[in-house]
Amino acid sequence: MRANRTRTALALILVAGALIGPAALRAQDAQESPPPAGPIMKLGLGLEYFSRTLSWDGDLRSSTMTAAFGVARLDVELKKGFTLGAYLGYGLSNFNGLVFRSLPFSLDYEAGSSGGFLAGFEAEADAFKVGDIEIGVLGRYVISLGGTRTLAITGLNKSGSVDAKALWMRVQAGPVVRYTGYEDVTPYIALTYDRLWGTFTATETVQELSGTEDKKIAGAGSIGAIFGVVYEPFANWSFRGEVGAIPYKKISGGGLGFDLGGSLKAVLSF
Amino acid sequence: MSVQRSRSRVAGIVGLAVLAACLSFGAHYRATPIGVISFVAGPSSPAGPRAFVPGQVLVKFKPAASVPMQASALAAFETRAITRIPQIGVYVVRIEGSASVEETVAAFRNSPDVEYAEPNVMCRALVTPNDTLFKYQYALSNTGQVIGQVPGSPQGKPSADIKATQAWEETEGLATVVIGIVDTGVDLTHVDLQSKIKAGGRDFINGDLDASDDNGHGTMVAGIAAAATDNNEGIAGVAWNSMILPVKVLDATGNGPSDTVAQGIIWAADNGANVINLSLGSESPSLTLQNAVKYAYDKGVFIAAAAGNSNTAVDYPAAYHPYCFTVAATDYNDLRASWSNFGPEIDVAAPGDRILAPYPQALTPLGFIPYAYGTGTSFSAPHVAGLAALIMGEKPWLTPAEIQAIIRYSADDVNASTYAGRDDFLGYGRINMENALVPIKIAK
Repeated sequence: MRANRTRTALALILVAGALIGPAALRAQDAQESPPPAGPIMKLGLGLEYFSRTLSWDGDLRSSTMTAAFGVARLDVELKKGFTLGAYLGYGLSNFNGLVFRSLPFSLDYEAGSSGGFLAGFEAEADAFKVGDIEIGVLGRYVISLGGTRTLAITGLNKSGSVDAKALWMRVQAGPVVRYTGYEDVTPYIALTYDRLWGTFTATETVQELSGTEDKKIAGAGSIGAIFGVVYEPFANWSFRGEVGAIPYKKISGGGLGFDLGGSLKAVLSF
Repeated sequence: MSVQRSRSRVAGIVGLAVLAACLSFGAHYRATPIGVISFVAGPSSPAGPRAFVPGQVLVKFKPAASVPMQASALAAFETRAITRIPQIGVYVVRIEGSASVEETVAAFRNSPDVEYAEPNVMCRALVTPNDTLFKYQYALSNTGQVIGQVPGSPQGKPSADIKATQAWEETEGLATVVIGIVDTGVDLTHVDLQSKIKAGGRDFINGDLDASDDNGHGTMVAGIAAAATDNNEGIAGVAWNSMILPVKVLDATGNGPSDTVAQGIIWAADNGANVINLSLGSESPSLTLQNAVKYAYDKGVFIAAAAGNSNTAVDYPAAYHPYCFTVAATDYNDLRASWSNFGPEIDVAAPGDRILAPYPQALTPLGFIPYAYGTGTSFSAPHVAGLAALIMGEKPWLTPAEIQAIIRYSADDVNASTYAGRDDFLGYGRINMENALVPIKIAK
């Protein structure tokens, strides 16, 4: 299943490359405009989705988290090759499959996605260039502050409820290699240390019974690869698409699985 | 025992021993150890459950085999297709001729058109223990089976049980959790119990450390709570892995003074019991007993106590709330047992009618295996004690009061049509191990 998804993602990159390639070749003929002086401000919108296999209970159990969010972002290119960015947004995180056994009544969380605000920071810097190859580093941090969701506990002869709240963070950092041989299109690849961690808190109340369980969660894998393309069809507009994959070792059954993700950004510079 | 089993092959149920339901112990104390015991004949056939469906074979033809070729092969082997599983192209075939399942499978396998042929193997629910008498334990898993071996025995209502098999998917208990059986003692060498005895226990009747059972009641209670399970022998206990601490406080007639019972409770609490089962009682109160159950409760011990069997007010010490968790009785149809005591102290109910349990080998009549059917709240309480032990194994941080609440709120309100909500007859309802132990699905 995951292998199929990986093949699908790679195929999408190739298709994207085939579509973008001719435009890029045409763009090579255009004259380069001189770089503007001073910082460049960029405003943009972004969409991101990723799935992540989580391990919990001391890596004895796992489940799959998915997250999808939209953000408004501000990037500042302080100088050529060095950009800082920040964004705010709202997203849905799905932690189905988490099981809480340290509450008076054990719970199996299958309540679907929960909404919450998130914030993120990014930095990208070029280190050196060899011909059309630029080598730099990127760093990203995002924190999702999920809202508290109250859900009913059914099946007992007394009513009960659980307050569920998830907080998660993700860090990505690593080298990035860009090919700058095309004028409007810049494909890149990055190898990242990719860590996701957080806490899912469930507070149960059934009559006089109550309990709280903090479930420490962490991504099962920690090294990932990103394949992306920046497309700049107009002077002040750029679009950026990415897909990423993180291999992880399956807890049950052995073997490797892959967590996949992707993002799209549209950015206006001024 | 083997002699008994061999004789039992030709014997049906012929023995019925009736013990007094209300025997006095002490000056004004009455134990209610049991209503009726009937013994269990050995198996009439040594064969276990069928391994496959008789007269049926599963056949899958090779893709190259046309429909006429398939029909021809089926006819050639004197079989007829009952149904087909189209997604995997497998026929369920009935044998029309005189050939056995094995012969028919072999014949199909020799056919060049057949990809495979196999018996229609019987499957069973997961975590169904292999104990040979488990099929008679309607209290744990009620499939609508006949309750007992005497002709005319009643039949249970499917699902009128405590959902044990579902709960065992989650936990089978821990050996570190000890159930104190404060009763007539326990048959320490019974094949279904000997591996579960934590220690020799304590005999407060004879003043020694050998809590052997000379009555039978305590052995039955112990077995219901925590018989050795999945051991190809006898019955299944509620708490598979929990250990038993036998404490003898009732004599061979089922009587014992309140001070002795109190000493037994205190000794059990002081010697590692996490749960205590009290399938005994009297209609007369005793402050000494009240103090004893309070002592154990304050030490973190969960106490399951039988309500009594006289269709009157709850006996003591079961009535000592909150220290004792009071258990009434239901039957194989999830109905209240007519003799079960009632009152505001009733917390929950558990099956107590015709409950199969181990019986002391030395007291078992010739021709019978050492198991018996018992009726009374005495046999309801150990179901709850076993459940409490499972909860304690899963969640050792819970207090007795919290375990009580879990068992109450997870119960099935089986008499809701007449008494919705908690009532004085079945309390919060018949216990439901699945609700108490298996993670509850939280959906949108």
